[in-house]
Amino acid sequence: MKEYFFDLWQDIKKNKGAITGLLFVLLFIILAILAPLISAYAPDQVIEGALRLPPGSHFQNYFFVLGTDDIGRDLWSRLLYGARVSLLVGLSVVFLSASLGTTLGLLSGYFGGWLDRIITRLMDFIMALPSVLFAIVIVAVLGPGLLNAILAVSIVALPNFTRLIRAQVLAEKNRPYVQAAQLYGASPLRILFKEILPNCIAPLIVQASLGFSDGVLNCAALGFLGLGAQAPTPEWGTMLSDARSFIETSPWMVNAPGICILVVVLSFNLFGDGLRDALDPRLKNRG
Amino acid sequence: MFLFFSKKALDMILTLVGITFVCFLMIRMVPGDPVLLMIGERSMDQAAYEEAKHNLGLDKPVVLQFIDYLKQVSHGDLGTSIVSKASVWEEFKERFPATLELSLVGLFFATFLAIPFGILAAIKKNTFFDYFLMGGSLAGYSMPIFWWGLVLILIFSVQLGLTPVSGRIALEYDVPLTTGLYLIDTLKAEVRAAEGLAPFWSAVRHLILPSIVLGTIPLAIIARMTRSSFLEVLGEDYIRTARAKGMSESKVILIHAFRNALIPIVTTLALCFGSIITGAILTETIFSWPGIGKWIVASLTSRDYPAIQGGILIIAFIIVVTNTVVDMIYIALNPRMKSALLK
Repeated sequence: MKEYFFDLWQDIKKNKGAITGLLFVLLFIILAILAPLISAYAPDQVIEGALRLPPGSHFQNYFFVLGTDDIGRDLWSRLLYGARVSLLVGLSVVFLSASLGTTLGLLSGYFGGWLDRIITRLMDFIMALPSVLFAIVIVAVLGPGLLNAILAVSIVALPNFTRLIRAQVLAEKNRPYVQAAQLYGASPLRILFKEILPNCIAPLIVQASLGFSDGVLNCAALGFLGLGAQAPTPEWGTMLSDARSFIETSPWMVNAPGICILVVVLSFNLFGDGLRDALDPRLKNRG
Repeated sequence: MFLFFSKKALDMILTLVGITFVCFLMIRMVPGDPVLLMIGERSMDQAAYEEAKHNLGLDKPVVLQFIDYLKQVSHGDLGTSIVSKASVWEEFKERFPATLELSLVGLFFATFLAIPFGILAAIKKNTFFDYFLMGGSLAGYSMPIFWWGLVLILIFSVQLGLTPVSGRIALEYDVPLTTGLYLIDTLKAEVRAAEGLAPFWSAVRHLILPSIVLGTIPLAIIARMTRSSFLEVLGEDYIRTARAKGMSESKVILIHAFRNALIPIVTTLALCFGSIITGAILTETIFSWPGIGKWIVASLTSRDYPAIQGGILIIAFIIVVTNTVVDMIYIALNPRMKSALLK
């Protein structure tokens, strides 16, 4: 296993895009973790009179690197805390959709029969609706809010994991090592989680990386539509939506969260793409 | 072949019934009394409440309610909007042409650029040009289009004053609608006689930014698909044969490679329909485009549940039917798939 990951790392290292993506991902995680230490003010601290100041403004004893918003909050601090929200959103979406999706995929692929048919039909059905539309249905039922948005986006992401793992299990379950485990009398659960799952890890990591960016983007879109995180949570999509009416006079309020969303989503996509290329032997042989 | 198509059709019907069931359940799962939600009133006297409950069929067992709902939907009755008091189907019909026009122009813009970009990237594989195009395409794929739209408005509408900020046509033009598509309706003889081509150009100018925004993600997807499809085809033996015969490179690309690379590209194009609808919801919100995306978001904000239920149902129907038809055409067109099925 160690050797496998070492080889994988050697392949990824050659891909400049993947490395750039990885560096930005790490930077994003560090900024999110260190937000309380490096932010100038609390994300919801209102500085009276400091309304919509452009980046690099001095106001009394205050200094605003990225300017302030329409009620006088420091944009840099809000973006940093927004990184925490996005990190949380991405991780929760990936955790929820990957754990449930993987379990469903394992069961569906291994046991087949009616269970497989029901799960496959359910996933086809989720995939029939465009993601944001499906999320809108869920948010319409549960009501707007960050947690409900996360739940909605996770459900939308389920089929990606379920279908991926199901296909892997179908390929793996007739391999000699699985038959050997069956002969030893290992229980189906043990075979699924201890024998088959570790062999599906690589594509799962790729999907998780791409799922993270989808999660962040979809939650931001729901926030923009007023269906995700609610004010005063410093969520990037919601911040962008609130800043819309000031685009002519204070464009930095719109551009700062927009660029953040783009950079984070792009970094995860770059890394995920690089990882997939490194793992896909077909692409490797093509040179 | 017939068996396969019947299976596909059956799959489609099952999915449609499933979607109808979700829309049916949706309104019953919303916290609060479904009768009050459907009527849109907070308080009413007992007699009126009972009457409304009976009229909506909510006093029947759930299974019968669902069968009633299926019957109702199959007759095109999607309920009545709480806000406008008009039939949901009429509301949808009024707005659909706006979304259709935007989607078609957006998809045209995406395809028009994506296919040449993809081909060039494949031909110039592993050069700066390829990296630049594919990097740009990944950025397009990662783009939060709700921000992208605002950036374009800021540059082209606010700073350069080249394009309008919102709407479908300038207010001074009163174009009688027959197709509902302004690009066609403004070219009718009576409109041209009265106002010349000015209304048409106004409609075009209004379409530029929204269709760029809507087309961005499909552009990225199609360009990447074109590149990989071309790379696969360019490695085939018949391409080597064509080159060995001394055929010019442009002929090899345009005649031999292009036709064979086209099948996956066309499928991707059709499957972009889902992302177009998602994009339409966001794009229409940014540009105040009076289509179904904006309508659904507005219905959600005003808690107009019959409108949300009906709107989602129609969109889902359109997408599922389109995808199934594309699947069938794909199989019918692809001789290899056809023979595999016939065996």
